[in-house]
Amino acid sequence: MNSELFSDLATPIVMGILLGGLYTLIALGLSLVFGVMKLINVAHGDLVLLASYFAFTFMSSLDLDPIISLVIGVPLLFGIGYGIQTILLNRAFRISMEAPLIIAFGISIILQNAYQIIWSPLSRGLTTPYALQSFELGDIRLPLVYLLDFIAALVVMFLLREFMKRTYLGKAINAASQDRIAAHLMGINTNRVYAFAFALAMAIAAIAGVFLGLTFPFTPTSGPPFLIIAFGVIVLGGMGSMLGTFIGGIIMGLAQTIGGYFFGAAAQMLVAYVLVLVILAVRPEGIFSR
Amino acid sequence: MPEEPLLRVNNINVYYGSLQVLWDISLTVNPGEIVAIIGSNGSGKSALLNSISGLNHPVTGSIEFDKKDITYTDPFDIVSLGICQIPEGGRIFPNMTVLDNLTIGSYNHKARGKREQNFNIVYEHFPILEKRKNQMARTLSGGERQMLAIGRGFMSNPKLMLFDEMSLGLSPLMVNELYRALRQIRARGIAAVLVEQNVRRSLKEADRAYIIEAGHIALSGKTADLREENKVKKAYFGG
Repeated sequence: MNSELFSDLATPIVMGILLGGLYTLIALGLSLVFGVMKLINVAHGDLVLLASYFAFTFMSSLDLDPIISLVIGVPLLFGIGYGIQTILLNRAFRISMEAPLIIAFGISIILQNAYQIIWSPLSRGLTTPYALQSFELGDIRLPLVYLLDFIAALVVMFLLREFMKRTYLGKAINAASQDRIAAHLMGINTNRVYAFAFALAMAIAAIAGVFLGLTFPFTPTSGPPFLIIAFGVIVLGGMGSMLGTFIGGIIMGLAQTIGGYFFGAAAQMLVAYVLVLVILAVRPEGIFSR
Repeated sequence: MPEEPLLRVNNINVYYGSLQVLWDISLTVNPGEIVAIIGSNGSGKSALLNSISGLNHPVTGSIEFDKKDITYTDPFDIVSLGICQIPEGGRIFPNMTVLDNLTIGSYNHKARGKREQNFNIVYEHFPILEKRKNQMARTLSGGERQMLAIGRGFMSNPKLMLFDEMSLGLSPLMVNELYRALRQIRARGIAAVLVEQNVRRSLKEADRAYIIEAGHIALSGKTADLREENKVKKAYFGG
């Protein structure tokens, strides 16, 4: 590889890795819910967006910095997640495995329409002074928010790992995902543990939503495209594994930026999805599944 | 005055869906006692344990434990009252370490405070578990898994342990080791219910036994007497 091509490629490579942080943040909640309940939460993208809109409202009405507004946003989404699982999904799981999926579709449609009504179909963004700044790494200049995305992903992953490893509740989530009956016999109320796991996924979605809004503009229908990205990430990484999700996120980010470099911005998502298809065909269980 | 039974099952009728599997079953377990439940495959032995554990509530009849009615108590709440089932096959959590499996055993609030103390007791009975504590549980052998399941159950600080087919598919040597652990558990004042297909062994180890046939109690009594009973001899010892 000649040095000129490499220095040209350096920007999309670094950008892709950092973007992978944002995709990891978005995918972590989806991966957690899938790992614990075997449910593909098709409303995940829209719920991430709910956090983006909350942060937008806090910013426009209270002049609150989006990252600081997470102090309110995280508990808010946590509570909403706990409510969704307790009131809707736990009951639906008693009917069949398909019922919660249909409910998640319903939530997705309701949210998209609510966003249209409340926040209008206009494109919104969390425009802060630092969101527009850039940083230098050697010869390349990159938007500062990409670096923030990556740092946020590392912090969230570290905290999630410590929580799962060190607390009774974290171990109970792990146990309930492996054998529900055995978990009951060990004194674990699995419905409560599921509610907590969904709430935790939503708390992470709150963080993802803020960093999404700092990085990209969004509209009421931005949820599904990001759901598809997150789904690609966990397929690449092997469902339900955190390290896999992180590496899947980075691969997804790289496919997009390097694809964009060679084939133009219009084709960048196409490249990412062709990659998902190829990996599904070669290794359907994901690259890092155990 | 006779002592108050720890567990009292009163005339329960149990269904799996619309199919009745237990008819009018009554049974008692005294504190510190080992009771065997004997019967062929599909006779309803596991259904009885699952009713006691709260996994499948009876339609009529009642279950009392430690003077509390637990007929319709949820399985996860029954654990903190002091009943722990070691399910058939152990059902350990394969993708967790041995240590985490044991820790999860002490999930209920009453057991958490005694965790370190109970760890030591488990390791004393099953030293192999301490050696393997940082290994994933899926890497254990069949016998080690059963030890882990028993250890995990012990961590819940029970007054009564229910063993479902503890020795199924294990080598005679391993079975001996598990029964040795069972005797030590009993020495700590914990009562046990054994569900076994190994009739000879369970009649030897238990104080009393109930023989279940097709969901009914066919016979019950002290194991010493049952061993002499002609019906038992014919059905289970071939003459």
